[in-house]
Amino acid sequence: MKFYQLAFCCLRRKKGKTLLLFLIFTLVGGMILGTSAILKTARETENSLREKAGAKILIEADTEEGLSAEEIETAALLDGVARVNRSAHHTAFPVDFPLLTKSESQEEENRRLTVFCYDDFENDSPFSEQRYRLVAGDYPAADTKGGAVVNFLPAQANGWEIGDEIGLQTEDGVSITVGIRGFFVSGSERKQGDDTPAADRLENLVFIDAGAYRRLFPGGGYDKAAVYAKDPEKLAALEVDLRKIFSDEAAMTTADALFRQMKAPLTQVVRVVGWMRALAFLAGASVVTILLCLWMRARKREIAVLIGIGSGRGRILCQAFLEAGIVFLSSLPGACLAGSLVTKVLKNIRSDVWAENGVWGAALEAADLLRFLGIGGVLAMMAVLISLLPVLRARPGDILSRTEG
Amino acid sequence: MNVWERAGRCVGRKPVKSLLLLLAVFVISLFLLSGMAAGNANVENQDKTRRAVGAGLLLEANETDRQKRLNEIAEKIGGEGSREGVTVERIDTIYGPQFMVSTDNAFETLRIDEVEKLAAVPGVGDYNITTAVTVVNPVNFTRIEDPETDQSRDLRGVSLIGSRDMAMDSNVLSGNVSIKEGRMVGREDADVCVVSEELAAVNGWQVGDRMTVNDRHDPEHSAVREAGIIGIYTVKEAMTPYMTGDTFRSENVIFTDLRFPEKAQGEESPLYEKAYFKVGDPEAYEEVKKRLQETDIEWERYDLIDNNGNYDTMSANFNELERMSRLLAGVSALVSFFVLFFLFVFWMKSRTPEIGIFLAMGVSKIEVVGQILCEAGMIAAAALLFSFAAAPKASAWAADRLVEQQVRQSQEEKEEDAGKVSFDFAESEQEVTGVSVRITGRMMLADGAAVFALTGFSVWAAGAVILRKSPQEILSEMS
Repeated sequence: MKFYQLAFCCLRRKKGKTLLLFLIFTLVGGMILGTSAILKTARETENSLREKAGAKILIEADTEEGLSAEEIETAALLDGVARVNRSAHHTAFPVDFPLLTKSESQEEENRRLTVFCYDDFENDSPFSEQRYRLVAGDYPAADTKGGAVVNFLPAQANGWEIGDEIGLQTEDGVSITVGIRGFFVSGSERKQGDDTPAADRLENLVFIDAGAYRRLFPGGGYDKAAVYAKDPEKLAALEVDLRKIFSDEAAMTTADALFRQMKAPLTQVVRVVGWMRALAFLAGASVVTILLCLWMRARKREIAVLIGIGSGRGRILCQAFLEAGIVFLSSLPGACLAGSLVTKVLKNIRSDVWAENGVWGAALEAADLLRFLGIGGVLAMMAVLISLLPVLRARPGDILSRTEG
Repeated sequence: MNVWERAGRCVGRKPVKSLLLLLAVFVISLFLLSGMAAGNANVENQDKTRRAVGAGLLLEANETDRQKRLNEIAEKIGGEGSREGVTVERIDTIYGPQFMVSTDNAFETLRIDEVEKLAAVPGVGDYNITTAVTVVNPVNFTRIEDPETDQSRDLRGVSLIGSRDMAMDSNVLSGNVSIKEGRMVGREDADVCVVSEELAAVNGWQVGDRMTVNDRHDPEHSAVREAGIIGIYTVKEAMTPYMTGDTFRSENVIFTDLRFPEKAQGEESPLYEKAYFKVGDPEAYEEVKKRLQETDIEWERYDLIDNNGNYDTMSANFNELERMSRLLAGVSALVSFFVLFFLFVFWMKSRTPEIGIFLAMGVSKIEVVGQILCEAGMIAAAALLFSFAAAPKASAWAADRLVEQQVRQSQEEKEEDAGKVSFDFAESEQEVTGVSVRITGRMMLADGAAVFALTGFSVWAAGAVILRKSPQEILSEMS
């Protein structure tokens, strides 16, 4: 009988033990694939948290023209950029509503208000710095087609409500209408001097969305741009790329305080998961090796008999390799099934990642399975070798002369 | 020979098999303990990350209520006079008599007793009080001015911001303001200040020097107040001015202790503008907020504002990490249990002929099961002892490796960036966060109980299958 025929016969004859070995291979394989999937998903979550940490590069214009829209758009297209928050301000004239002022000056700045714009009011704005706060309504969203936040005092004086519209006009005659989305307060309104011109008074500040600002001041530049990085670890490299886009006159500062505070413990979370995966692998490999050792030891007499009747040690080794290999390969679909149970749970945890990457997607890929197959196969062979070596090295006579057991 | 003696002899007669089984139980027990410890470590790390992100609540005066109180008091005054912090003055103008209403600090301030009451609410980790921006006249120093700006409308002063704890000021919490030299203002400090690096440079100040200011309304005659400079701060980007004018520009902002601004102004009472309550555990944010709102204070005077933007954005991800850690621990535990079970069943199956002989010799089935249970118990007990001894060392080694990795990575990043980009802020010393992978008594108890329970169950389950057969049937099966 050929060694492979013997292998199949042995597996068939010892159904119970074969099944146990198969189940253990399946469980260990499933655990290793499952923990790999968990580690991958944990890394995705870590990346998501890093992006949300708000590490940014602040670019401030040093010239009157400001940062151009084209430069900012080019910066926004860089690989490492998550988003850009632009800000600008300019004075304008009110259309059909009075300004609040205590100054009797006749100069033009006492007849103007100041318009500010932001892409995102909740960051990099006086609202995020708690200089001002909303007392009613909400900020205009980035896609709002003409929304404004105004001071609560002129709102009271003019009887404005949320949803009312006000007009703004530039000295070039460009005018727009914006809808009131919210009211803000500073708390310092009453501390201003009587001589403060209207354009500088807190009551006459109007915050509008970037789209409305572009319509009111076409061709105007921006005072600042906060460029948010996708990966806070690569902030320095991003700054180098931004330097190539903006002129030397633009001042750049990196700001990643929140990321620095949470970086260490966050990295540790993912490292601990990685450590667990390594442990799972080691534990699995150890248990499988021990089990194979137990199995081979139970077959000492059988092996001794085979050697005694002239079967070569190499042939016996091949038979053992084949037996372990058959059980290992048979356990793969089960391991994949066990791993897919874990990925199903992960799907509930991070549905957004799955939506981007499909069923196997972020958690398990064909490469992972091939890697598992390769490493698992090599380990199984090594385990068989380790377990069989003491038996093959002993003399058949010595083995057979020992008491059964 | 009793059951224990037979069990001991069987274990001793097959030392290699017994050792292999012991090793297997040892590995699984160690793996289980590591899984539990890793889960705990991750919970701690997630907590640290959450606390780093932080969440809090801001208390400010309600403008509508302020106006209502002002009107009520002004009505009570009825003409000219002062009452409850409100002063009404009659001024004769070309338009006729006008009544000017002004208020003092006592009217405008947040009430300190109510703030402290809120700070004592369970769940509030820490709190800060910030004064209103107070404009004072610089006496022994020069402020920063834009030479091209007309200063005739400017107040010609500098801005003082008093804090109970400067580290919890919003400009500091946002990461914009950091200390370049010296330290921040603390709770116990009095008559101290932290100045901007630009102001320090212009005036040649160092930590330890003294700054003097007085009331801007009467710079010639008002009392001069002195504050010791305990720190010099730097900013990532210029702070948004509170109002227009060089008085409020970022470089002219001076942080002081809580009571200094009122002294500098010559006032008798302070003007607290904001109070910030830091939530100890961001996960309990809503509960803490509810407890604060249920506190017995005059809530109509105040607005309580959510300040958990960052945490809110990230909380979903923190929950994901927590669930992943639990899933990992669960998968490890489940697989460990099953593997242990199958291992013992495998071990039992290899002893079928031996069991058949015992039964044929007249040993009762219960005694046979009992003997095998004793053997399994001895091996499991020895394995558990070894794993309990090894686990703390293994976890300490793992913790050291994890920290070492972190330090090495940080060093590599510094080397990579050196000479490439110059940092225009002082890079703060990054604290290496130790990871605590502790094996607790509770874990060992749980591990031991699980291993023994599984051992017993698997021996019983496998034994039941074998012992259903007669000795002849057992012995007639091929080995």
